[in-house]
Amino acid sequence: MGRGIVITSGKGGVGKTTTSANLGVALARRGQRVVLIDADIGLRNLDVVLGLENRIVYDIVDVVEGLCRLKQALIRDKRYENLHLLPAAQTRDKSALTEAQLEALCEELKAEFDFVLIDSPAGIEHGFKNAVAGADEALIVTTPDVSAVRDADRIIGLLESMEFPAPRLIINRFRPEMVKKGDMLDIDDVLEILAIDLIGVVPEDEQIVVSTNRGEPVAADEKSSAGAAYRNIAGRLLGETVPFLNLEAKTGLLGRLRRWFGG
Amino acid sequence: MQHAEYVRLYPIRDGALIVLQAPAPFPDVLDAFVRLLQDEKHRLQGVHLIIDTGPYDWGARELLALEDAVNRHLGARVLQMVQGEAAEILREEFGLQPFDVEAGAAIPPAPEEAFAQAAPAPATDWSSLDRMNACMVRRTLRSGQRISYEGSIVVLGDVNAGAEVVAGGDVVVLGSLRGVAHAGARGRTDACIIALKMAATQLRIAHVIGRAPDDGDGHRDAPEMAYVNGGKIVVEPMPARMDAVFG
Repeated sequence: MGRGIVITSGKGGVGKTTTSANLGVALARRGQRVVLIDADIGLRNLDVVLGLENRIVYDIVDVVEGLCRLKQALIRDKRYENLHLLPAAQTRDKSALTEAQLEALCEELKAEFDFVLIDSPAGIEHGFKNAVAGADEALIVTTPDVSAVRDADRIIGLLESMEFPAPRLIINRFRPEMVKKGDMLDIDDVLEILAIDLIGVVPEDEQIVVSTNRGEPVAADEKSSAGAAYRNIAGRLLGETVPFLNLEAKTGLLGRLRRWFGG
Repeated sequence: MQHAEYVRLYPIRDGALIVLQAPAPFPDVLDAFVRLLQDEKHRLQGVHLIIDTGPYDWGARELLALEDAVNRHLGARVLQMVQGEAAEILREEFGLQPFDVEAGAAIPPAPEEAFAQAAPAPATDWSSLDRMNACMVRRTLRSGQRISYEGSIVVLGDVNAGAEVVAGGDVVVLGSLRGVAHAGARGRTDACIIALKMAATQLRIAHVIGRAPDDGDGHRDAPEMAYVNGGKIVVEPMPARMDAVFG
């Protein structure tokens, strides 16, 4: 029986879709059977980030309305045969699905897959409620800034009142140089407010911009630091103890040169 | 007391039991009931009231009339109405033998000492901060959560930014106060807000609102207290002696 994990944040733009895609790829690379569900009806992005947008024939709303079978809507990833995507609908909106429908869909998928990752939309309304309906665990994504942390706190409060097991935190777009200068919240600052277990810290990485545009998640890229972080998080999801990356700004000669020249 | 024919009063643990007895026209019983309430008003203030309506076949109108009488003479409260359970209650409380209410037998009077022991529970007194009840909140309040209470509120945890604590009395946060706290919400300007780490978005006491100065914070790591002085909210380290502030 698979695990249903919702990836949510409250705040928009902090990296839920990027995280969902990359965790999907990282887990698939480890041989897990993974299905990604895009629950952002009307503003679908997961297909773009995976580079699968021109392969969509049916979407989640079609499945729920009975126009097609679930299997027909699932799209197999280009690179990993054990990774599938259930895309959202773009021409509808969040009222097109109910919590019960999403819960039933996830139950069906959990029978076939090891991991059912649900990419939640931003917000706390209908879309969010639908996304969490099928999940047993939650991952909260936040960036280390006060507005994102405020929204993450709200979401954690809502999940607690729904009697979800304690969610785990991913701090995304972390910039150690800014933290050193005191311009960005440090990991401990965020944890002091949110008070949940940390499952990963993903550094800011320019490669993400490139990978999104190309539809090639960085978790497949050995040279990307964000990719490494996502692969580590996947390991932790599988129960392994993985030490956190050393995100200190490089102190080698190149680092010193950068600092002298104001880099 | 004439009403003893129709109504009997028994003090029981945490409250009073009123037994309506003798098959009689309801208006007579109601009359006796009202007279009992008036006579025993001092004993019945604030106590939990159980009314045993006996085996009589009274409908909603009669029961509502009883409730109305209580509201008018003793103040609004939640009533418990039972039917024919007086025997059980009396036996438990006083060890009295069960009696046969159906047959109209006289209900034995309550032992005299019982009245002396039963002291009515004090009615909630919101007029003084000294005697105000406090509500304990044993967790952190997250953004978007709100707790309000007529008395004082003590939070064993943090109050995160975006959370609100609204109290008629004082607010004490045994953690970091990062959200909004409103003490003296019913108009008490002598209420105070205390936090182990005072970093509130906004502080309110009665109708006075305060926020941290714009030019950077004076956030200290020691516990601090906010109170109204000269019409403004001031925040200071916890005083060594509270009575120096509140006299």
